[in-house]
Amino acid sequence: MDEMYISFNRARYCVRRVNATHEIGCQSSSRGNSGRMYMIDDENEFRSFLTNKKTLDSIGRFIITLNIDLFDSEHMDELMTRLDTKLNGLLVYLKSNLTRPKHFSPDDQCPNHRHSYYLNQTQAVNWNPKGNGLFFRSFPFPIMLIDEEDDYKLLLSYYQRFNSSQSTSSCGLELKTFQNAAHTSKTCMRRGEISHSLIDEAETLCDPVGGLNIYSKLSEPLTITPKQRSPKSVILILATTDSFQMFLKANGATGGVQQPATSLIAFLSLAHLIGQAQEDLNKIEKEIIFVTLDGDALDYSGSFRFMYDMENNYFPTDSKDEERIRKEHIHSVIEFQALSFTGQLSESNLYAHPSNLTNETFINSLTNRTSTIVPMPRDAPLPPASSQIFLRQTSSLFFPVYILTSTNQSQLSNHYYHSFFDDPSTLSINISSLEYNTTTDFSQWIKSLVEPLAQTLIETITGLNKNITIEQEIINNLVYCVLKNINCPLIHNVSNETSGNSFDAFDQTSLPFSVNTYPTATTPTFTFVRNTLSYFLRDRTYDGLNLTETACKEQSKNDSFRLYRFVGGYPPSISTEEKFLGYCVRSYYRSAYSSSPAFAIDKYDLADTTYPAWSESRWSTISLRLFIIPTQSHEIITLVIGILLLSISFIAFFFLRYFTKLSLLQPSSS
Amino acid sequence: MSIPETRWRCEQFHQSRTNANNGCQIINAQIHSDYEESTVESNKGNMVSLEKKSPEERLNICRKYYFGGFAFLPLLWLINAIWFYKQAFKVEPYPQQAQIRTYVIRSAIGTLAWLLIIIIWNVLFQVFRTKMGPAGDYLTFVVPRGYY
Repeated sequence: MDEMYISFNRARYCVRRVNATHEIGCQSSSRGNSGRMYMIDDENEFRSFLTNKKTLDSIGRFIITLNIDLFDSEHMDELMTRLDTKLNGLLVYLKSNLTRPKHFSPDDQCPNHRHSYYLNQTQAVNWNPKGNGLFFRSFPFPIMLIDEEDDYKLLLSYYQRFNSSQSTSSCGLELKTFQNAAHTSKTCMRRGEISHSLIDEAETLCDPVGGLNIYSKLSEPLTITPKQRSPKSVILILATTDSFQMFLKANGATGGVQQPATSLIAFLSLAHLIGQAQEDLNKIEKEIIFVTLDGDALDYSGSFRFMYDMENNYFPTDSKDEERIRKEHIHSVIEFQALSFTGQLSESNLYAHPSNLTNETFINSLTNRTSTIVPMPRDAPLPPASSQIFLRQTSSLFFPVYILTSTNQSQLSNHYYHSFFDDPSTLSINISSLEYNTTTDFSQWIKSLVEPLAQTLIETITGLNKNITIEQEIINNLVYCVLKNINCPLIHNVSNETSGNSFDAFDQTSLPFSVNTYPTATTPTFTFVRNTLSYFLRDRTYDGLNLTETACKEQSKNDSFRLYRFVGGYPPSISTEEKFLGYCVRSYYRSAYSSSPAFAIDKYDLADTTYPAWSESRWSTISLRLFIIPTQSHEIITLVIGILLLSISFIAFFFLRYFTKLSLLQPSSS
Repeated sequence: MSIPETRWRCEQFHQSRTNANNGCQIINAQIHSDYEESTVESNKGNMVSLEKKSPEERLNICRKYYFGGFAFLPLLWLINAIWFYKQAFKVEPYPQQAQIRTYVIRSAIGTLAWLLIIIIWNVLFQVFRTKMGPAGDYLTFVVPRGYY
């Protein structure tokens, strides 16, 4: 081996996160955790390793290299109790993408059970039965994962070459994933603010979890006069924009396809359908507001913030001309959550709660329109969904919630819930051959899902039976943009120039679904949602007006309620005959911070568990390196030779000084 | 001339003459006195030799260190106790020695008290830093990263 270290740059790593009471995740020492590598490939090797007293006693520190099939709580517990402090790190490997485990979810068996609608119920429904819960445990050593096939092959080749017998040299691994956060959110945030003024600056150790809650609706063409909002006049459509994984990778696939990408695509398609029907909808006093929530994967932080904003008259934000929306004004909530596509005939389930408020007509007409939506029995327990918090904070007295999700007998259909394996292959999509306008089974299924829903919604609100349809091309484009390449023609067509240019940095990457923190890292998610959603709900009368960019800017001077931007125009959405070079888009959208109320309330004690208080640690370098540990005899020989050389050099110099009469330090005189 | 060279010259001289010892000793004595003179010359004003000071001056120095230590400077007391120990207890008595003796004793007591305070505080802080809550963090100068 020519080099001293072999680096694995594409490894995934586990980070520290803290909440009000605990810390979760993994931690290494600041110089990295190193130890002798020991590979465990299957159950037999695992058993023999744990009983092999000779190996366990002879080696001081281990880095166990574990097959991902063995990465669950039973094996981890056994390994940790048997090895105790000798376990200095864990490297999990995936042999190849074709051999990925059938189920892999580091989330709990009952996700988000800490803050749910069913707080005091004894019998929890295990929606995620194969969840191993390892994400929410705290490990004192680093855990990393290699998922690239050639990384695994390289690792295996070195292991086999050097670990053949006890006496020869062996492989060692060094894992460095030092995290700054410690203890709880309260401690971490407090320490991040300590500075000794002249001597040093405060160094932030962790960031609160949260991004943006974005909402948009049809921008009515009627002039805005402060009018009284009638009760039960607002319908909220919900989707989330975040997920989490136990193993992160910078610039890598984040997962999150079945939740929330599928729901987000359905959400945006529904928005387009509602936008298409705006003429009829604008005549009615009811409003349909589309809301995306961020931070719900970790204890529903975004939903708590949304409800808190609503209670405190902050919803909608920055609206001088609008009466604030409160819980009395909400007619119902419809949510897209954890939708999975398992085949052409896959169904999605409609949960409705509470049964005394739900509209049976709505449910019946929706389920009669299509066979892909199946109603759940009355008062069926709700799956993990943001709507649970909407019900909880209003004691389920004000409005019903309808959740469209994919479950199978009280189990989520998603086998990779909240893990990085949740990628487009789970939707039977061949992502490498996917083009901008490819019609896949998946996109056809989305169309069959949202069209009946839009038709039923419009019928419920206006009483009209419109056979409204969405162009398949729009859904195909959305699928391409969200799942393959966010830098797609769609987003450039619906954004103005500066906004569109910000996507060039994310060329050939899919929309990332990860834990967002505030201050927000550069993520294209919010810009994408904002631009697409507001464009789909735009005032379509402006499509026919051939306005210039300056004329568009002029419009915004007179109107503080709506936003105007000049875009290239998205052809599948434009129904007018004439095509112009650019279009002025009149739209309505607002965004609000979605971090938990714990971080928004003044003087809130972060140790209080009323609201979730998740923060993510900051870190600097992450590295995974392999090196060779020489044998004992090799090390001793090296040491002895070194000491010998040292003494020889001392002796040689001694002789040179006293027996050659050469004074090396003074100039010779006379 | 430097000392190694002169020693070599001495040996040469010794080998060539029978009673060269005298010559060598003379040279050696010369060298040593030269050295002492030069060091005394160059170090004048840095190293204070108490023997050269008058008893009043000694008492003055001792008093200055004693009172200086009250300004939360226990090291002054420590140095006072060690430096003037010989003067206070080992040298032939002279009128100011009694006062110097009290100063030295009190300085020693003060040093011990400070040592005790510092050790106790150090141990308490290390044990109770995390249990003190926010106070522990605000007292810490370099806030630890990554562990509680």
